[in-house]
Amino acid sequence: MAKVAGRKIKVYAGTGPSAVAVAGGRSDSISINNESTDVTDKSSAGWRELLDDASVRSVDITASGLIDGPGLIGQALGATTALLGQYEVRIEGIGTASGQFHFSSYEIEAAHDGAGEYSMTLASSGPITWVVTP
Amino acid sequence: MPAEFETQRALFSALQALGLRAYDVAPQAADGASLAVFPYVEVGAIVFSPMDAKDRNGFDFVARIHTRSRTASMKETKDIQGQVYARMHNGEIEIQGQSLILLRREMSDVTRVSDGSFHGVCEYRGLIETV
Repeated sequence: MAKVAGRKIKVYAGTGPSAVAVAGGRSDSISINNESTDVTDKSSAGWRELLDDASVRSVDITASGLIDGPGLIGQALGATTALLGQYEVRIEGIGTASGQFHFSSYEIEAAHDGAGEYSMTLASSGPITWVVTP
Repeated sequence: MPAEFETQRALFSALQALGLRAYDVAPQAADGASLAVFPYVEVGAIVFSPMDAKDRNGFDFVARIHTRSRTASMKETKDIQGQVYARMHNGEIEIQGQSLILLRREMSDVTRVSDGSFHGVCEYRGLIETV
């Protein structure tokens, strides 16, 4: 199987060829959540049992890096009705996960003796599509 | 030119603009004595570390600026160090091909050399990104 460097996993705002990589990104964390439904009962002989299908499925993205331009701050502080947008996670050579995400938070860290840094979180809203790179 | 050289060039130019005699490595006599006219400064050794983002490369560098003085006290060395600090600390320098994010002095020291001269060392840390 092909291994992949962390720098080849990027978060993009938008979809398709016009999508733009989130500027200044240094570390991204993507979690895919399949919430389980616990159906354990007296007949389970003390072992937990879960339903085969997830109750709620979601993808959360946490991205952090160096502040580079006004784009993300503008999006975070933009009109409250414009917080849902299309985003993609591209894993070079492996595949792309895309869908609609809610821009949940944006934090700025500004030490006097370092570069300004940000961290942001995106929470999926609706289905996420996974396309494997041919 | 590489970031290493352009950074040195930018620091060098800023020091010269202060009216200081600046060298990469000061000329030496065969016995190791300095052939440069005192006082002078040297900026040569710069340690670079990567400071990359996923979409752009950058560097975190530390440049050592040496001050050499041959007077009866440390005052001349400290005066020069102060002059460089006033120019460089949180200052701007133009590095070709790079965008400066930060420049600041991290430490400053003066020692007496066995030949009776004074050697001042200041470390300047900079953050740059390739444009």
